[in-house]
Amino acid sequence: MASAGSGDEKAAAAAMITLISSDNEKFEVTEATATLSQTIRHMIEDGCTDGGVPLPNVTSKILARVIEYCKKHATAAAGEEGSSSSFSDAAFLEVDRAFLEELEEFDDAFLEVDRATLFDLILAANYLDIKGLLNLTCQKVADSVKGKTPEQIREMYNIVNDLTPEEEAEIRRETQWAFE
Amino acid sequence: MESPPAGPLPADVLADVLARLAPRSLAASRCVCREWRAVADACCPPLRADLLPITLGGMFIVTSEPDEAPPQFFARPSMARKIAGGRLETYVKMERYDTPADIEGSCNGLLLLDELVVVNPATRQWARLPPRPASPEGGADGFDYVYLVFDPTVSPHYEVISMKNPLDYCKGNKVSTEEWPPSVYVMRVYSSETRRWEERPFVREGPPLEITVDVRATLGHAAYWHEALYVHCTTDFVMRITLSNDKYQAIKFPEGIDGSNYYELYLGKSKSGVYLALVDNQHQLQVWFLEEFGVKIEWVLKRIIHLRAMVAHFIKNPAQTDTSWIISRDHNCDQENNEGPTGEKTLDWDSDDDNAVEVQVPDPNCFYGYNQIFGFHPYKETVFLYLSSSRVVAYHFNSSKIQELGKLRMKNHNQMVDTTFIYSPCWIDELSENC
Repeated sequence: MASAGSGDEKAAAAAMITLISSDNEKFEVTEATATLSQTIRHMIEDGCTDGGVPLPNVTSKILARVIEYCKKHATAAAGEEGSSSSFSDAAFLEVDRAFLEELEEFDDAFLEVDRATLFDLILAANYLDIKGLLNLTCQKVADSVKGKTPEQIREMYNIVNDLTPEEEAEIRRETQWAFE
Repeated sequence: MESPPAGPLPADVLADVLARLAPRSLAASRCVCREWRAVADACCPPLRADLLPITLGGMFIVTSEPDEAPPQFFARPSMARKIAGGRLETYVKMERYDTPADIEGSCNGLLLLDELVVVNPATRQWARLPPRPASPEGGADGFDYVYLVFDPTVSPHYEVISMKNPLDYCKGNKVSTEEWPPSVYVMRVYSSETRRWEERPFVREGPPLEITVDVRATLGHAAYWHEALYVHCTTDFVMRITLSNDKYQAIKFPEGIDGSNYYELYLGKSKSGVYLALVDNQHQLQVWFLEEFGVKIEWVLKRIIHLRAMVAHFIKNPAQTDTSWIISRDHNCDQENNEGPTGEKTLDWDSDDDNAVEVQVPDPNCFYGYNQIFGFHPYKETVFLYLSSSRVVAYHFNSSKIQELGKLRMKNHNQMVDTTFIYSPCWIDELSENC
């Protein structure tokens, strides 16, 4: 029984949740990993995770990546709690910093994906309500747009320009300073 | 493996993405398609062009000793009122006793004062940077030049670059000048984002230059354009420093121009990029444009005009308009608070219409006198000049029209204009958070 009210924290942390992707693949994850998703956290709180959590909007390929992210960050969160409750001497701070750097490296490597995967990750992060992942992926898209012309942005993201030439000219006039 | 095209982002996610963009990128994003425009307009704060440093405000004028006067702000009366006369000394608290603040640099609405103080004269916000860490080994040689880098349309953060001139750098770091300029140039960079100084090695792009034998090494004016800083090294080149990739490039002066030999030489940013103005030994004003096509960079001569023609014109046409630029401290600009970006517009100088006249042929009998280059209009192909007879004029080098801005009188004969900084007001309340 993985009830949060059991008082046995170790048992709660070890509790496993089954996530089921849109293509019916099952993933066993710890509750600590799963609850990085607010959506899943609410389901657990409502007690409706028996028999697994179906995620009809997320493919197994993307779910595997999302779980990879959540595992890493759940460990990080647990590590942070651990170190703050214990004595905080310089050695611990050093460990903390090394850990944060490692996490940053992980995030950078994690974002090395093609555009379609990035978009799928954003959609999954949005649907599962994983704040850290949504923040990370949205920033990646924002960074990719930075300094680009409208034409370059359209090309990069396969966007069809449905503005009339008049509308486009009007927009450019409104913020002419940005196009000089 | 080719991945399938991604579907569009939901509006709430797109709003999250667009909200992270700086004004310039947000403006480009509004132009992508209807959905992007709709989301940007619904979810992002409106793009307030009136807050951005995209208009000419005036110029800060630093005069030389012996009269240690604070910098003066020379502008239209309406603009002078808006930014409370530019009197920095009334609100920036310098640590050094009794000496007025000296301006070291300016960039898109911010000024860099000595003692490493960054100030926004429009909002009157200012910040003192932490002291620089000790310079790289042997760095005791020579003076550190500091340059400010800021473009609020691209990022709310500013950076300050501290560097030696190339000769001192080589000497101090025992770098051979055989390869000139050095293949790696270590500079110290402060970022308002991290609030830290950092030592950064900039790697030279492009081939080395032939070293000129008798180089007089100081650093001169700088211009910031498209996220690169162009520094005039009075040795023999212009240094283009790109902060985003830690590279730098040495750009030779135009053929026949020795950057160390002209007293009047001004590197600045104007309408389409980086420009260079100089007065040659025939008293001609030369205006050059740095044309950049990818890796190909070359100087193009835009205009050459004899200064006698300009001086002669103003002797014959002494008329002034009632909207002349003024040094605001001469008049009463006693508002305690800055007026903000809006206000009366009618009196503002219109460089296209106001009393512009075409410059006629030079008069060989005209006294030429002493002339100084004050800088470039940041958004128009115009160079500002200080002609003998205390006139500050705007010369539109594309149309060859000239107009008077106003008179700039010195307190006495010993007082000279040391340097000038063209100023574009920036009304974004950003500095206090990032100091």
